[in-house]
Amino acid sequence: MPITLAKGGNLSLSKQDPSLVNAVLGLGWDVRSTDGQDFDLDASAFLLTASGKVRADSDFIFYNQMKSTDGSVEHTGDNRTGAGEGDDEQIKIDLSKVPADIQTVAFTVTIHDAEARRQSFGQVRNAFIRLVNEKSNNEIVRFDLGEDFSTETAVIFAEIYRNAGEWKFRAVGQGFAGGLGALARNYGINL
Amino acid sequence: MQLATGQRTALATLNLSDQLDIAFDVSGSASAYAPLCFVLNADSRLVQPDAMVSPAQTHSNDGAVTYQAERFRVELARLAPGVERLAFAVVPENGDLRGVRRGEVSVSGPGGPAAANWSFSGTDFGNERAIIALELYRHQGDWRLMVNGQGFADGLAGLVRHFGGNGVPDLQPAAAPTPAAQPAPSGGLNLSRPRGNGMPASSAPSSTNPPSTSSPASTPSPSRPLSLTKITLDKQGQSARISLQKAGTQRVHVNLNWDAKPSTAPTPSGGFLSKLLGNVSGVGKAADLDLGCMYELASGEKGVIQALGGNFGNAGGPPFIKLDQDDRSGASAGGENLFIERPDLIRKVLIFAFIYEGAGNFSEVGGRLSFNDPQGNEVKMQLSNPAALPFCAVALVQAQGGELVITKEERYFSGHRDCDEAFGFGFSWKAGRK
Repeated sequence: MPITLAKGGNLSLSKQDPSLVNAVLGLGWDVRSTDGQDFDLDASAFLLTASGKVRADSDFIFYNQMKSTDGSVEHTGDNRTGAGEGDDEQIKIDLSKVPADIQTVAFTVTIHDAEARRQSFGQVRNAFIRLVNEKSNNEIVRFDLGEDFSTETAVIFAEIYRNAGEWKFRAVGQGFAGGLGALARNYGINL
Repeated sequence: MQLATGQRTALATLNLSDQLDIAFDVSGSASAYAPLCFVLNADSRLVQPDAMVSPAQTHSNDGAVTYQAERFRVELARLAPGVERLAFAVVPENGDLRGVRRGEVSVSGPGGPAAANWSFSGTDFGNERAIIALELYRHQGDWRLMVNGQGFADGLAGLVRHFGGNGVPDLQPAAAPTPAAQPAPSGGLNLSRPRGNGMPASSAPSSTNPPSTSSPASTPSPSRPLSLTKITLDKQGQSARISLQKAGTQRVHVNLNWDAKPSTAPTPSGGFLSKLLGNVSGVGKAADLDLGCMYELASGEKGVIQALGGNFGNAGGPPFIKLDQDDRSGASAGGENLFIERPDLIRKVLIFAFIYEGAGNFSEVGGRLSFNDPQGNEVKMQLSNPAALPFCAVALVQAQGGELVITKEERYFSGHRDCDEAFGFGFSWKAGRK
């Protein structure tokens, strides 16, 4: 059973799932069934130092930069409609490969071009984000984007961070105005 | 609370509970904006092919959703099992949503101030000719509200398709189909084809002829293109059957509805939407119709159930017939409801409507009666030949074999006594007031 975490809640991944080394961030949603432009949701990851910023633009893993230089974080591909069952986009994280100077991996979900398309998560059917242990397929945590973030267009879903020698998980669940560009600038990406 | 497009929130956070009103106020370049409610299951599919509430079909089969005067009233606790979602839509009579100057949908407790509302205008839309405005839905045990704000360029057809309706509804005006033209429904509870009771049998299938030429007041009933299981009894003496093979378990719901204000007859040349909207036009004082019945059980017990005198019947014991509500103003969109809990125990039930005050006679009220069973089968009839008398024997329900035979009577009398004499119940009468 996945843990239900309140926004801001955290848990010890080492205690919750000691076998966890390879985690998968899964994002899924339904194809738009009404008329209008597709809902194009994007999952992204940021590798952050203790300062809360990226070391370089290469620490921003998203649809145009699918893999970190160290190979610890990898985006499996952009889905622009939500077509398909289960996760429509995935980001794979190998915790054993995350560089020592990276304190936090932050995960975000954004709606591409939401402002121009006048879209928000509440209009998207069955939109979810979850974290899964790739080996055991255990779902560790899940958010319902439509119910929990209905008026948002960008959300910082969660952070995996180092704490006293173990990996912990924080359900951030914080909406963010301005979309992926604003999020990236917030984390120190030069756009 | 002003709701944004896409916003979702629990009804409890709006201090709304079981009963609520969804009111529409839309103006713009279209001649009318029809509000519609789709009654849906957990997969957002219509629970029955015709599970729509609209100005033309003012109540859901379970009676939980009713419509009157740009407003839906919802009683969540009355929703039939399996209903998990209600979608409220807006369909312009012509043109698209870009023509909306100002639109607002508000949600409130019954008759109360708005607890939440959603405002929109034409600039929010493209070429949509129908939109889903709000949805009420059950999520993890709680009822929630969402602003959908999405729609379809092909209008009502797109909406119906979206909710799993079969085929595209016919938007062209057409003469009301005769009952014989309806497909034979299937299922445990069956409606047979109506007999031409008292008419030449060959007249029944004449689907191309107008249903009646006997009176200028007779109008085609609104088209119900989604209906697979409905039968409309257009002519006096026509009848339909409901099988009682699951005797005792099939409550029959009788609903009398009418226009709070005297109606303007819908123009036969109008489109689908003008028929939808036809019931809400007109001006005048409110009418009060009372629904009642004279019954005779198989046991021989006889009686009268009506609001006048406070004889509301009994659902849990003989006669197992219960009058639900006395609506003296027509303000409740649901009209009046009578439930025959044990149709297997009756010999005959005469359903009547009585004008207590308000409208002088039936010609001003657009009365209509429907019979529904839990399978979604429906038998409907309009008071299509109203007379200047205050009492109308609308329909006779008779047990015949394992079936109920419902016959449209629409015979007008000066009062209960005359009616009783005509139908031979044999009561003794005295005047009463409520």
